[in-house]
Amino acid sequence: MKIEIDLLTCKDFGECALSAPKIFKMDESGKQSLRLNTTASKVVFDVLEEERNSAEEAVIVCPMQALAIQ
Amino acid sequence: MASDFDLKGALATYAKGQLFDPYPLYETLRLREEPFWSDGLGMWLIHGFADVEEGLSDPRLQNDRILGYERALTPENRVKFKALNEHLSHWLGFEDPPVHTQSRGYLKEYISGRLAIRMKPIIEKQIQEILTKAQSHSEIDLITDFAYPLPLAIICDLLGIESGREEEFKALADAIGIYPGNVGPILNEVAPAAQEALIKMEAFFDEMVAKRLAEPKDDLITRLGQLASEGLLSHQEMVSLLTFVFLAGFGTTLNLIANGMMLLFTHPAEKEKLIAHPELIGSAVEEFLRFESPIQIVARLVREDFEWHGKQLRAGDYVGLNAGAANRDEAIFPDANVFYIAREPNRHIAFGRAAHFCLGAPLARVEAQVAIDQFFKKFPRAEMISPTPDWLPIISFRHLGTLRVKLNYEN
Ligand code: HEM
Repeated sequence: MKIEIDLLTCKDFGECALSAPKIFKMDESGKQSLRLNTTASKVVFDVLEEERNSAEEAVIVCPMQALAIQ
Repeated sequence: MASDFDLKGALATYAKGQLFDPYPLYETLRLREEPFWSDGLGMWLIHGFADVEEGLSDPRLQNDRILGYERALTPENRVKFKALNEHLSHWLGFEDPPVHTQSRGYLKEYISGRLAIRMKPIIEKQIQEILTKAQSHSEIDLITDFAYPLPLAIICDLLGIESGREEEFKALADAIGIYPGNVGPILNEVAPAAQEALIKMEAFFDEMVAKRLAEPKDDLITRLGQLASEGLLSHQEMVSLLTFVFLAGFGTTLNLIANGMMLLFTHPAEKEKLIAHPELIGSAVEEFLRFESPIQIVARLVREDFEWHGKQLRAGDYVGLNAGAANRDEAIFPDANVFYIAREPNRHIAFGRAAHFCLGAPLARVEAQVAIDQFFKKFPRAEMISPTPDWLPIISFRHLGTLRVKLNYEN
């Protein structure tokens, strides 16, 4: 399963890290930690199938609707 | 078509709450002038998707609208109904950071995506009872007999209202809700009954909280009651948050289910598509949310003077961010005025955005998905009797009065 995050739309509310802590983390300054490794606006990455439930939860609770499962 | 649109007439009808198809007006205003000052409503109106989305994230627009209520009350009433305004000031939808962040945190621990998953079997059981009750009638009103009982049962379950006392609690919450649901001088007239209900509501929760502290359960009354007993929440904040969760989550979900049913009955080809492909229920519910958004206008108050698209907004002005209009914006949604249950992508804004994004969105989605899926599995041949949608004269919500159907049930 793949997840897409739009880092321009994302405003670092951190809800995804609460719903899916194994997939999303916030860094020490409270920013989406995926920002550390990239300057791209959209990032797509692989997620283990066993994390599907928490990934789906993260998608629906995102206050900016910045996440999608592909 | 746009040229012979009677803008003045439509605006006057709209301000009276009588414009039952507001979408041509929304579109005309969006293309013409944004933000648009409405004298009739006394607020700036925003209709474009990008602007509504921006407005929901702009800290210069605040949720605290208590000033607007105080302004409308006479000096004498401002003193008399101080408790009512204070109650309102602790509603999550009236708070701003940093207080908002903290209160939202308390609710978020409980009203989460996980809650919706956990409640799904309860929702399924409730809907079976509702449908079994319906099947003995040849005709039902989908509002009172279908869209109403499910969200009432679920939100009361979540809060932890004792069974058998749901209607008593709802009556009190509704009586309080009348007050924030109005604007202008009429607030002086509705305040006494609202304040009286508030006093009864406090007694109601005091009784429940005492019971739950003695015997805790997995519900919101127990949670907030414990926070209050630890001194993390004031008694007033606890009562406000519990009342607010009911008012935020009941009518909205009722309207989602009702509006979705109405849309399917008025678009028979889409209804047949859903019956043939029940796996489309997820995207169908998103399309109901987009096409007839239960909350049309999300209100804000201008915090400080600023200019927006060349218009001077003044501190204290009301701003109405129209999510219902934004969800029909052609710039975002191709064929925005076409109802299409398989629409993809569908990043509608019916649950708001940013810091105040709806906490109950996952729960509302599951309720609507289960209810409508199960209804058509049981009554695939149901037919609508109500000739035209019976929209109530309320600008901020899309709320049907009745929706009568013949069930044509075959055992
Ligand atoms: C179809 C049903 C629903 C719709 C359309 C809806 C819509 C919304 C919208 C637009 C907002 C944002 C308001 C703002 O920005 O000021 C909101 C906030 C909220 N909703 Fe919902 N809602 C629904 C169901 C629910 C349910 C079932 C619950 C509770 C279980 C709920 C709880 C809340 C809460 C607590 C807030 C306040 C969040 C905050 O201010 O931080 N909603 N809702």
